[in-house]
Amino acid sequence: MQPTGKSMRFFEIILDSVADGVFTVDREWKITSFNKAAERITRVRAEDAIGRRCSEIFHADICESSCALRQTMETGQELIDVPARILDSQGRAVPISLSTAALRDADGTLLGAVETFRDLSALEQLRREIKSQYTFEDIVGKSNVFQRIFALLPDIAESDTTVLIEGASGSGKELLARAVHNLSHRRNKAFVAVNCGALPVNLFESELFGYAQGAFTDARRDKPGRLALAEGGTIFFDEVDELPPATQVKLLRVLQEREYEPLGAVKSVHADLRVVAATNRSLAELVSSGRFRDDLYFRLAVVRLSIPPLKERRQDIPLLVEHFVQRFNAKRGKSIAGVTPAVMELLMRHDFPGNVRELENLIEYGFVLCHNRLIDIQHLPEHVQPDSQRTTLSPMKGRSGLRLAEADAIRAALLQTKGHVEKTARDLGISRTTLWRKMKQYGVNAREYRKI
Amino acid sequence: MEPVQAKVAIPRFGETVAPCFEYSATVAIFTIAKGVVTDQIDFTLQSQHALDRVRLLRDQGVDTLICGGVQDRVEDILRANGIRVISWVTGSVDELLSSFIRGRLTPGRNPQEAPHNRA
Repeated sequence: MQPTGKSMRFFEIILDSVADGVFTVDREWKITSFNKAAERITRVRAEDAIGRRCSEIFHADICESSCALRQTMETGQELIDVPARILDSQGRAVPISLSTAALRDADGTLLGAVETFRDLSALEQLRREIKSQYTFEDIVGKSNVFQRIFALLPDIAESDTTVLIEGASGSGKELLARAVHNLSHRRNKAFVAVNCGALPVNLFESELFGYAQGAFTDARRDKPGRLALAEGGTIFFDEVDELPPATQVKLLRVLQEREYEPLGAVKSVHADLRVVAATNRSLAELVSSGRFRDDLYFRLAVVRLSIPPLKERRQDIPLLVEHFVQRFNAKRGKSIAGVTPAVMELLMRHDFPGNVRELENLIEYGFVLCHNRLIDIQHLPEHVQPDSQRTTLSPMKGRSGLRLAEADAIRAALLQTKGHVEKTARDLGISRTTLWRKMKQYGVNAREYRKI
Repeated sequence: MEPVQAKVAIPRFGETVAPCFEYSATVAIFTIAKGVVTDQIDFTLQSQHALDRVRLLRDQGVDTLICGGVQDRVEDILRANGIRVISWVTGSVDELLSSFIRGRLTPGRNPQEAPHNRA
């Protein structure tokens, strides 16, 4: 019995209410039906998909090698939960899990096949974040500086060259370092990050090179250093400008000779690793002022990648907003579509002293307060809202513009130093005591900036 | 003015363009001189790492990649490496190449069909 128009419409309604993508093909692989979820996942309208070969819509990794629909049509067997990757119409890779079944008429004649597929993007996003498996897909930018980075990426990925990444605090240096590691042949080995500014000077060498039993009073057994932990992989020196002078010499030996000696050890250890370093200061200037060894600088800066502050590449802001919206949708299980034009305009004018990290935090803040489809001005923190939009009285309201500017300068400096009070005071040219007093006066809490 | 000689790469799946650049098993590189194909080499691709593919095309001196699907970021990397990309096309390799030589191939357009459906 042929289905009537009414019953066909009924089946369409059922299929459109299903959360998984569902489509059918005929024996020539041409799509004959395409439900709403399939439209959402592929970003292709049903009217555009129907009548086309499925490989022209899905661009999947299995189309050539092991097409699930072909296997099902050839063998009649159902396939269940086959992992695959497709490309949506915007060129984004979408991980899916698919199942297939043959479609036959009442006489058992093969009509085609049906495929259901589930979008696993959110799951994969979370998995990648937990494991910090960033790749070139996570490097978001279309500005000229990123064109240069993209031009170098194929060679950087293939080689073992030392890479120096320069950029202001919060510009994404560690993400880029992890991408360099994950694109290299060392991707299956460790990525060990060392924050040179956070390690006490007197512990630096034992942390980095490790120590042998008996090296000092409490050294009861051998302890591997960060270099040993990174063996075969990549070691990332963040804030490399903070490297103590004595350690600079030893690191130079690692880069030149590919060997080092753990404290108290009598034999050298061979180091098979790649070094990536990052700094938010100009190493060249530190070399000129004699605060950083020039020979180490030249060894580190074989390839230099510079990430400018976000305010110097504003054209990337809409892309970054879209990227963070997708990311937080996955993390928080929300389906926010984006930001309002007013928010985008405000973001395009904002100076972002905290760079990409600040933008990320603004969007995350918006996700907490927004319960609609679009993040609006009132969902942003007060300090970025225009005065007329502030919903509550700011503690700064009524005070002079000078004091407001002073408070803003302190906040910006704290963002740059990630809440490091001593460095902030140094950057602002005031004493630590004065900074504490002013922070108290303006209600600024340095601890909040350490979480950013 | 068009260069006298051009190298064009097309990831192929049999006689048609492969559904996706990153996952294609074969890429054909054509040398075109004065509007005529003078040479063709088929490369079998083992690695599915996109950057290996970009390097191959760049090292072979490819000027233009004609392909089906391609990841947005991979397209950025290809362009940054000086490779022109005509993406999201479908159809037979011969017809695509012929349209390209006649200067009538544009991204997202199949030689025989309506503009491709990028949502």
